[in-house]
Amino acid sequence: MMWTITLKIARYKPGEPARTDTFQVSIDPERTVLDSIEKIWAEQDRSLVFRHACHHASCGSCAMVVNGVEILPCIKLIKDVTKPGGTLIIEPLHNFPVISDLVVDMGPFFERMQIVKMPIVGPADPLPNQEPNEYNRFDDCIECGMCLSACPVVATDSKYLGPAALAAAYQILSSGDGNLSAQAWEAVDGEHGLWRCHVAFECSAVCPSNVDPAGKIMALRRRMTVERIRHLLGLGSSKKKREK
Amino acid sequence: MEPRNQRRGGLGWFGQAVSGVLLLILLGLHMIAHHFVVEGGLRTYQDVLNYIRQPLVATVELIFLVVVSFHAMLGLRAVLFDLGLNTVQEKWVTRGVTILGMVMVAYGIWLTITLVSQV
Amino acid sequence: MPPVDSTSESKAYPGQSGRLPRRQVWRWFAFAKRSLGTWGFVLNRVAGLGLVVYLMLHLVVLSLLTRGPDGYNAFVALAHNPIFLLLDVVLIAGIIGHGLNGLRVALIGSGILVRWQHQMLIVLGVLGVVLLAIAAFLVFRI
Ligand code: SF4
Repeated sequence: MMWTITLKIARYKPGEPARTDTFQVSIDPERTVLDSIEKIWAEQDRSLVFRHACHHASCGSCAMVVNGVEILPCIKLIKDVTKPGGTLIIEPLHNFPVISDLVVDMGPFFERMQIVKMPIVGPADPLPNQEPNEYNRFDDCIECGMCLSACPVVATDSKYLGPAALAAAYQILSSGDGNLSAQAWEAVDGEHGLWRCHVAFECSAVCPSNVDPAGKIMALRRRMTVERIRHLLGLGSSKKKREK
Repeated sequence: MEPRNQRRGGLGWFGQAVSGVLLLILLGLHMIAHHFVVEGGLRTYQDVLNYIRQPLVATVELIFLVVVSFHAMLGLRAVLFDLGLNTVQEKWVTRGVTILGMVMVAYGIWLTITLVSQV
Repeated sequence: MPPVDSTSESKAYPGQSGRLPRRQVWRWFAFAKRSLGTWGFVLNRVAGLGLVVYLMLHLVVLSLLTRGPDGYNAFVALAHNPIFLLLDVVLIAGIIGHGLNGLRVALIGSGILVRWQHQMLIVLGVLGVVLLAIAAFLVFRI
């Protein structure tokens, strides 16, 4: 069975005004959104720029916005996002500079991660076949940037540290003897750190990898709030407990 | 943890949460006392004067005004800070909402005194 | 970009290519395709800003009291107009929405009941509607 669907794809080339191109494609609904985009590229428009690598949700590089919501098109089936004759509105991730068509510059993401010294931290729990003390990536985060795209605060505050990096900070703090540098603390606990979050939980809603960044931000806040209350009550910091 | 002294990011949030919870109580009282238990839903001029002349009422109302102004201005500041302002703009926003909040409270005190001393 | 040093001015991060994303305030309110949490966020923001404006108006209106009985009582009479009563219900809706959702945000933000944030929104939503119905009844009975 094949469905004919319409794809309205946001197009942008440096130096040219942005526009939207409409394509029709006939495709098996069991195939993925990425398949439909590749089909358009193969059969209709070789100038369409998009990014992908693994095709199975482990590289995070194909993330985009489809019908207003961030998805990983490599694992999203056509039948789950539209119906026969339906339309997909396809845009690059929000809150990132667009390089061309559906490809964004991930700089804002990695710069934020860099502040908390992610993605490379260590030592984390070793994977099977891994020597202890080898560096490991932050949990499940595939660095797709969807959380930054979905966050309403990132949309207006480019200084906001944002979901992934704050989740990474939580991860560092809760792993053994991990602590953050003074600079990272400044970013995490400052005006544009975890207190800018307004609990929309959109990052957790779109995260394809169950990182639950919003949950991590709240866990960090609880830690800070407890710390603050202890401080107010003159109980001193709970540092000793953590050092154990 | 690192020394907290330069890290004040959480104070605003904390203040907002605490004042918010207080407001649930104070605003509840305010609505009930001023509107729901009052015949006709709004006190007439003379009733307002008689009411505000009770010291306890005046005190609670002024506390309410302080808390509500604090919460409103802190909230406004948070919304403006969400715009990703630069540090100079942030400073002006903080100053602006502080002054506005103080004007609101001062106005409230002036109004209360004026009403209480009115014949 | 991000606050490497929060005292220095934020700049586009080094080596950026393509267009810089603009500040998009309308995205605060783009909740249609979003999850319940965003609906709560929009509710709080809209109601909060509305309540700030109302608070100012309220304070200004109270200055009528200094003009003696005539001015103020005329206002009281005006406020019994059904349109005003309807606005009162809108106001109360804003207060209840902002208050209950604010309570939820304060709890979640302190790390309490985080996993139940959706359920809390639904339960508080139902509670809010009940409270609003009672309040609306009281407003119009008057
Ligand atoms: S936290 Fe989730 S949404 Fe954000 S970058 Fe990592 S995998 Fe993607």
